[in-house]
Amino acid sequence: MEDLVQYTVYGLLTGGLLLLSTVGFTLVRKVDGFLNIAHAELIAFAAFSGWFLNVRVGWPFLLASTIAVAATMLLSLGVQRLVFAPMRPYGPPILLITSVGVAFALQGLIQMAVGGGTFLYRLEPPALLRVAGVQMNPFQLIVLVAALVTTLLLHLLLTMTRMGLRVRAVSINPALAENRGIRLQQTSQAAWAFAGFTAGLTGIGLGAIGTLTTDLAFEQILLIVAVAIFAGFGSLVDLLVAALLTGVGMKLSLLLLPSAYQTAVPFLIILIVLLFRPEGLRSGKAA
Amino acid sequence: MNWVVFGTGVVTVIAIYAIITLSLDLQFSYGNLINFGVVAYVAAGAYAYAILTQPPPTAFDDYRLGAGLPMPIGLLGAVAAGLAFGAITAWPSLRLRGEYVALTTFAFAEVFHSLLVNTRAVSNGLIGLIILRPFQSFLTADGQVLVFGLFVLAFLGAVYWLVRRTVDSPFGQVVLAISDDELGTRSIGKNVDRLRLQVFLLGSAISGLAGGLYAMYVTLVVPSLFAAELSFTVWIALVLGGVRKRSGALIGVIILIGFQELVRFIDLSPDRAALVSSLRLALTGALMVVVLKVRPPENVLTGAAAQPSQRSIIPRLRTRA
Repeated sequence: MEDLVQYTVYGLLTGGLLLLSTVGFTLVRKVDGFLNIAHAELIAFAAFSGWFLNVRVGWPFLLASTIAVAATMLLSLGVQRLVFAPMRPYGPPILLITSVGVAFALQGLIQMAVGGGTFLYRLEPPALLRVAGVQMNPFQLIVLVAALVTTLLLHLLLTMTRMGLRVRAVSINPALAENRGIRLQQTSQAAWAFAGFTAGLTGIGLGAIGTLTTDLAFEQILLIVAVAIFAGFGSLVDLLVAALLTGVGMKLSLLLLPSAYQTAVPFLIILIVLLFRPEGLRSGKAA
Repeated sequence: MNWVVFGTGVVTVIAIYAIITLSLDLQFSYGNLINFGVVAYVAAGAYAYAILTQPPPTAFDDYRLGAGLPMPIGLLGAVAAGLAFGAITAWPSLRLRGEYVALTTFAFAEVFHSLLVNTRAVSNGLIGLIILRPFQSFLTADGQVLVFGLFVLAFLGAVYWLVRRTVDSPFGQVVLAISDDELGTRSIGKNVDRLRLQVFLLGSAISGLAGGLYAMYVTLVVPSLFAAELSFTVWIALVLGGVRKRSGALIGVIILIGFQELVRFIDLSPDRAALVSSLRLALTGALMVVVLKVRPPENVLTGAAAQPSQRSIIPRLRTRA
């Protein structure tokens, strides 16, 4: 029973990271209509540029991570402008395949820059928090809070600002939106800036919580896709629930299955969701 | 002699990849199915071949299956395994369209990979299964490489012929019609779901065969050989060669694998090996993006989620948003 509570808490904390990594991916999918496989490379870029500034250059963690997040946003905007914006007319399936190429290119560049092995931030590991007998890593708690705040921020941006209104219009019907004078390139850039920002936070979070390996991006994209499908590209609430449930599911599976199967759990979730409820958590109405 | 042997090795790899690419070409260019999990069908074939041909386990082995059958039966088994895995995965995958097919096949491949690592009794886990080199009883080491190269080329020829015949047949033309206009094809009374299934299964069986040949080539099948990178390498080859081109798959594989082997020659010293393999990854990705940008395959423009592609048709109106 104690195990159950402890693992559920671990799961919720993991879910925070999943939420942060998926929210930008989902926004790009809504605005540009394709799954950006290279989103995980943005996360890896943030994690390793943070590591580079923190360890190689020797800047303090907060400064290094701020610059890393900013650099990730710039990279995100650059990739959008150079690669995806000119190719938008080719349609989503081609953009999806292109994003695989972008992912390979970025992954190769990151590996060339940092080499192989494992990487640790120069950061005191914090003392574990104990609340009512349940252990937590305070950094993970911070990530969870950051994820919730970012998601709330996105919700407010989407519902309260004119840009949010444009983004929603484009995600529902791009042709009509463009006809009504909305500039697709502008809304798309806004979405990519946000995606770069959240990817940056995710990368820094991953670096702060654990060790980094160059396989990071690949592991991340699997999880991102699983959560996004589970949520069904619906509302942010759906995404929140899907991320937290996936996190809890992965950790609780440790009690039942050998830990080697843990990475397969998100995929079992995808398969079950696609088989029985292809629209995911989203309610019957089309988004 | 050494160079001939090396060259034959490269040709063998190219031929095996070409067979996988042909199966993808069939599924994607003609069936409009984005299979991001090709590697799983190859893996199914490779493991089936290994299990059918390896000697029964001794007391020291972890694996529990080994039939010790001759090579041709192993290859038949590889085809059957690809087909069987295709049949299992087709039902959920083919109910979906476009990017969702990509994701489901990708997910199946990951789950399958995880199974290969974890079911030690069948796959021998990370240690893998050893395969006896074909023809080793009556040929020298160099001779084996040459004969095996010809053997694989013969299979490539057969698969190429099969794919071309399929595409040119009335069956292939209906499949083409589906990927151009699914609703239209359905409305003239064609059983769209069954045709999509048949294309998918044919592709799976071909991938299974390639897996069997690959197992014979590497002589040790371990899960790490069947990572998602293989799927994407084949995708890049297909894109490079051109989708729906008669020999596109072949040309793409020759360019890609030739290119990768060339990068391998830049520097063979061990301390640079990691750098070179990263460079190869980066260049491969960049090549893929450039090719897609310059020469996008046209058939997928009508794919499942065609709506956003209409954006280009609508002229930009310069009014205030």
